[in-house]
Amino acid sequence: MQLEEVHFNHDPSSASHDALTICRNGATGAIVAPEWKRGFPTQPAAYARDAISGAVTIKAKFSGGPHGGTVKIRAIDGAPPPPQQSGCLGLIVAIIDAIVRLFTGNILGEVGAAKVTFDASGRSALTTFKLIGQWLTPDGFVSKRETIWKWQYSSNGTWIDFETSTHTIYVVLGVPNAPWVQSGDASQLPWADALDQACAWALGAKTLDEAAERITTHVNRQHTASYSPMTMFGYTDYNLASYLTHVSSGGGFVMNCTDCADAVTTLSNLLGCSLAEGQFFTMKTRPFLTLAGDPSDPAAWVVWTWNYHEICWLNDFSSNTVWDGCLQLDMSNKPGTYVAKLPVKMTFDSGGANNYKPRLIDVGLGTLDTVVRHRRVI
Amino acid sequence: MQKEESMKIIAPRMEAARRRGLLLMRFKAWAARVERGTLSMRESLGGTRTRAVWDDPQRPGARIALTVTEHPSAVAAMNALADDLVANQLATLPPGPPDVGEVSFAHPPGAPPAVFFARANLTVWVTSFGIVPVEVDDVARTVDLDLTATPAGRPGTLSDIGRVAGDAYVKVLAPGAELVKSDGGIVVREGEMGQVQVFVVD
Repeated sequence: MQLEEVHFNHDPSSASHDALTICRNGATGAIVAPEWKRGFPTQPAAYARDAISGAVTIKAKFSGGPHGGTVKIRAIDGAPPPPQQSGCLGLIVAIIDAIVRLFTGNILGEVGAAKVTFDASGRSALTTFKLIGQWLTPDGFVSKRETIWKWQYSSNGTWIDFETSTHTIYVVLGVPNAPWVQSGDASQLPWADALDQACAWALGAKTLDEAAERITTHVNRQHTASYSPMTMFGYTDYNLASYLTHVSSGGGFVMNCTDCADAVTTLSNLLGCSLAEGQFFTMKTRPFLTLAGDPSDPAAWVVWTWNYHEICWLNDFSSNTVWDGCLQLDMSNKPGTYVAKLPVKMTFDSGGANNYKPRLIDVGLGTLDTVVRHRRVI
Repeated sequence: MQKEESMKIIAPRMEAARRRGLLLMRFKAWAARVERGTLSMRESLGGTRTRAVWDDPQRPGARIALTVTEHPSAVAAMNALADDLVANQLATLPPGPPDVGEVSFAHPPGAPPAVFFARANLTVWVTSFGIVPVEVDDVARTVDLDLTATPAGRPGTLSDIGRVAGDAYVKVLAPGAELVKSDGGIVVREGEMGQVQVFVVD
């Protein structure tokens, strides 16, 4: 008996009982099921926790079965926890193993047994399997995981191993929002390359607020990034591929507010958040902590005169709620002392002295733009 | 920087740029003559925009990026430069080195050094790109001089354009004429076809 195919995104029109539609990156086109096919490189799959309602199913196909017969097939966790060794060391090893499994281990549980019918040549049609004991809901959190399944068939009441398959699974909180799509322009399907980054940065986030906060923090605290007023990663489209390349390269790079707003919006929305990039105009700022700056270094507290500044808004301007990965505000009221605060889900301006706008702008109107954006990713 | 502001400086230079008689085709950022540091990264950024990064081996963290976008004509490049600068947060950008480009702008003191200029049908950004700031005026000057220089060797013909491969690019010279890219070829306006010189630069 052989496993031939495993389909995770077997219903591209829905994410309620199967995987999302994703692509590797903007140049590759959609990853089309089967994500696992004998003799071919394995493709990743992604699930949106909050979109799932009811049982999650996969589909699989087999060969080498009984000609014209029926067999019960299932898959169990192929990498179960090892038996715990005795003593303190054994306990420590078990704890570490449990932590690693919590964040990177199997999230899909096991493949429930189903009867598979084989044709006269011993091949099966695509057969639907229900996942059991899976932890995608309700406690799933942002993560990139490896699921190893040991496939078994039943013979005379005994389960016989016949195959092991390994799958890369991303877990996001909701169906990705704009610029990401689930149909249409394949270059705007969620990129696995971007999921790698977003899931690493927001690992463990259980809520959209936590996810957006972690993405904002990582964009702001990249030690290889520094601020320059020029948009370096695209103003019409967002050059996400370039940003990811520079982040992973370890070499220095510069970025401005638009680049930061694009990174925060695009990566957060990949996890299910609903942020948008929005500008406001004409200002001289109060001192703020520059991108990746050391709050204890007075030289890192800077003042700029800007034509515009761009940040992330919850949905649109009407939410009055913002994130800014480009800077940290000074919340101190004492001259010569600074208290850094990363703007995360902060009120833009409701008249309070500690709102984002009065903490950022010293002089100037800060007039809002008329539209918010979700820049197309390239 | 608002487009109306940059166009106040760009518009008066438009006519001279239009008649410069210089066109570059398939030019990539990494083909630029940068004599400082080691070429460490090449990026195609979509459309005709490319970026290359040079690292200074003597100064860890010191990097220069060159971002080049090819446009159909010098006039298009001048307008595109104004569009590019809209994506710069600063309210105003001072003029860049006077001998760089048809027109150039620069970051003011206190900002990471950067020069933005238009030359022929290219817009070119020369930016300090690492966590250690690097002066870029000299780099911009060298790059621009190389863009405008007449290549050594005998010129080829217009048919050579279709045979260019790899990182080679085409430099077309026709002093006094307006050169415009069109469907893979070149339209020569207000000039004589006979005066057109085509160089393939490897």
